Amino acid sequence: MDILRRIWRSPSGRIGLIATLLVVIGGLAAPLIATHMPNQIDVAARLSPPSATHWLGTDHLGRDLFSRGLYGTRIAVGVALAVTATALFIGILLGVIAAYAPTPVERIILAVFDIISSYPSLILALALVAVLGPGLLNIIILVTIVFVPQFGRIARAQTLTIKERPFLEAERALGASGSRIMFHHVLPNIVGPIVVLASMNIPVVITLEAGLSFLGVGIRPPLASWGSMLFDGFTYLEQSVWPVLVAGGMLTLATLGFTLFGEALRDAIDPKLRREP
Amino acid sequence: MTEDALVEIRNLSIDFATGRGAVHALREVNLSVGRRRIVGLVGESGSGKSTLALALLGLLPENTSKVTGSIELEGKNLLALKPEQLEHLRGRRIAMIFQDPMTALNPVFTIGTQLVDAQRNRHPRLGRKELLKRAAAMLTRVGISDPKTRLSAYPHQLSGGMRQRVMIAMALLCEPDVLIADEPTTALDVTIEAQIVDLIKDIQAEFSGSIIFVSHSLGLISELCDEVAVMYAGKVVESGPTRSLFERPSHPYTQALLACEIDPDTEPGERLVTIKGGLPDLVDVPSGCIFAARCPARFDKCSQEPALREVAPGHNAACWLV
Amino acid sequence: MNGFWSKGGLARYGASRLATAVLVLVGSIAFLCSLTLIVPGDPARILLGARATPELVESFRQQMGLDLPLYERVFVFFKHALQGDLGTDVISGRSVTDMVLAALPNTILLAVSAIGLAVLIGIPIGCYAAVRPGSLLDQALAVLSVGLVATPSYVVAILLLYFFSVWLGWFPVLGAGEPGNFLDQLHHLVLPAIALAVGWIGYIARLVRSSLLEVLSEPYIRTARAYGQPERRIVMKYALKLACIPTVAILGVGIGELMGGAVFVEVIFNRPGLGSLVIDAIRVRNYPVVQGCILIIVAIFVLTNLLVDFAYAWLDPRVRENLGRARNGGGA
Repeated sequence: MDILRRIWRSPSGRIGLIATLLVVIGGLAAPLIATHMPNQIDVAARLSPPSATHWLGTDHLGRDLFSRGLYGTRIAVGVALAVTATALFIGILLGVIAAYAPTPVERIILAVFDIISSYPSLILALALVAVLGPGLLNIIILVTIVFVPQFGRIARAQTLTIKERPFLEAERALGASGSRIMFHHVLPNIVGPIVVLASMNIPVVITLEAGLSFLGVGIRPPLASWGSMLFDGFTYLEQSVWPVLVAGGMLTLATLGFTLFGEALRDAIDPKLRREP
Repeated sequence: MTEDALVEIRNLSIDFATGRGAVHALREVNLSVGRRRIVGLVGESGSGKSTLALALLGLLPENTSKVTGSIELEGKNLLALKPEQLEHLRGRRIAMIFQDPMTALNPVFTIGTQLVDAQRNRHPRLGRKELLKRAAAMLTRVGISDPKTRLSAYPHQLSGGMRQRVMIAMALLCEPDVLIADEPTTALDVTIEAQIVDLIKDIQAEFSGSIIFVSHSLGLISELCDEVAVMYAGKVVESGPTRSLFERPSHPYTQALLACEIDPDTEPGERLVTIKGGLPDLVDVPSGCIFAARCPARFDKCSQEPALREVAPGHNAACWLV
Repeated sequence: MNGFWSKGGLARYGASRLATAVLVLVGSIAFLCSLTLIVPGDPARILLGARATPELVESFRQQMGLDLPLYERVFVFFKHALQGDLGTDVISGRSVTDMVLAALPNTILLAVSAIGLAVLIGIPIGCYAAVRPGSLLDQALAVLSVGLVATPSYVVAILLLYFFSVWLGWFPVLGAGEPGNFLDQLHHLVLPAIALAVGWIGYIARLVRSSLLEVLSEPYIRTARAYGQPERRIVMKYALKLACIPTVAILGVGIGELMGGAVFVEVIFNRPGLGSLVIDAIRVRNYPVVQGCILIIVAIFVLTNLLVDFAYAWLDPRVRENLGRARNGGGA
């Protein structure tokens, strides 16, 4: 894979790739690698520093931090993928519709995009959480809503450029159906910038979800989201720094990794998309 | 090499470092500018004339890798000066009019501010009000009406011709000994160009310093300059008093340049004259006469580089045919 | 300042930006109001949760105008808001307006301090890195800024809190300090402001660095040098003004993120402010308070963007020429 090779060549891309792989493999292999069950409570060993049994220490209920961290990966990455995939789907759908639809429909869709994206993402998420309530599913739904406009706009812009190209006219003249044009020609052309955007989005989703969980309005304990681990750990910060350190560390590793990887991917696919700094 | 020359350039060679290797932009250039003389530097793009102009100001680009020879201003070698000393000279004894007035002026400052700041080196003791007054007077002198309004205007609010007049005003306000005009009309329309040329002619009568006028147009040079130096690929191939050079162009390149100038008597449908071939590679400079590859009159002696040979008093050309 | 206010164009520009701002605000309110439609089931009962006594449900319904169609609801809300009435707190019955106004100054203080810090530290660092590219500072900046930008802001804030307050004990852990005691309040402000500013410092420094480098290679800088201007004046006066323009632009967009960051910082450092207010309200499902807070936050965001647009026009005379031309997108 030529792209992977290009990513490997840049130092930051290399770091990103390694970090991302660590995180993803860690999450996938969690049931195999974890030393304990993530929700296994052991009050006697609460808030203890790293030891032979608990490699990264324990939280306030004696749960093993290493294992919770690993399982947290599944939630972080899982939510990020779910959100990105759904937002992609809805965004592309709305974007393409907006490109083909009559003006009033297009206006409405664009207006919705504008309003949603005029909110700072956290604020919007908070407003939605206030209405929907916390919980894993709700978080996925509302974070998806936050990110739909970005994908929608790009999808629409790309579709508009493609739409008028002469070869499509030719296809239509030859009797190709609308859906064939859509799937065969339009979609493949949208893929490039959208893939890049999606990959750069993943760390943002992870950060947003963890942030909401940290504030106590996202994924609630005992589910081992890094955000909720931070939430728990923060309450007991003065007694042990380890819960916070583990959760924060994993978050940083994941966001840094995915960000660097995403940037390297973008540069490898299309350096024209790069913008300083 | 006149004894009382204001500017004396001896054996100046300048290299630039590029990805492909060192570009030998100037190779042993000699030039003399006398007091109150107007010297024209003519050549096509890539001939090195702009590099020469920038070298005079010490404003060579960052990738300059080699500078040898000397540039003497009244005996002092400019190349040996420290940056602070050079800074002291710029805007006082040497001033430059740049080619493209739109990019040469700062877009977020008013004309007035820029004209005032340009004078600070020359008149460090005068206050802003005083400097603005001088600027307004000079704007009138260069043919800009309503100077007060223009002083508060921004560059993008002026037309191309006006901006160039501003640049000329800026240079004149410094009362320099040497004024360098680097293709001042290249970026302008022909009609505006004519106006600017008239302005320069007008100014030059009262201007007490020397002017170095860089251009690719022989026509302009013939109108304005006392002496001409023709440059090709980093070397001076012919130089001398304007009249002599135009009456007896001796280097084949000069002859070709003259032939290329569009003659108003040309019949429509007649082919335009061009010089076949392109500039030689300045990284891997060919030996012998630098123009030989494109010269219609080349012969076997041209594989040796010709020295400057006298055509007439003060008029030299680097060609074996002289 | 030359003709800044004199041209009718600027007034047109101001009017069009203002109009866009108002539209965005109205759109946001409509959006907020329509949110209650998403709730499956009876909004009043669900939003009130366990406290849903029949009287409370009824008064809530009336207050939120849940019986009215959407556009009427927006209209009513707007009317109330303009009169200063943002509803009442579901739990304590206090006026939401009072609560919000009490919390607002704290948040503004925090935000302004953070921006101030970021600008005061970021710009000089960026300048230095541009004038001395490849130096130790420049390289350190390159590495740190990537790391800091990628790390979530709340993680950085928590670590700062731990290191400086819990471990070293240099700064207090909780609160905003004694009211009336300026020094104490300042002491309480330092770490939160730094925590909020940290990511920004790196970003601004990099931005200033790259735009300064670009500006310094422009022809008009060469003209200044050709007239013997000292290098220091060239950088500080000519180049910097231009280089700061992109910085101002991102400040506008970044205010939104700043507000988000402020929420985290207020929660982490236990400071009173809009952030703490809205989080507490969400946790106990106090919807009118949430609505009021979010409205004010969005209003601040829109207002700041408006100010940024004006600052932009003030800094760059070329922009003033493009007055009145509508910019696409409302807000961000």
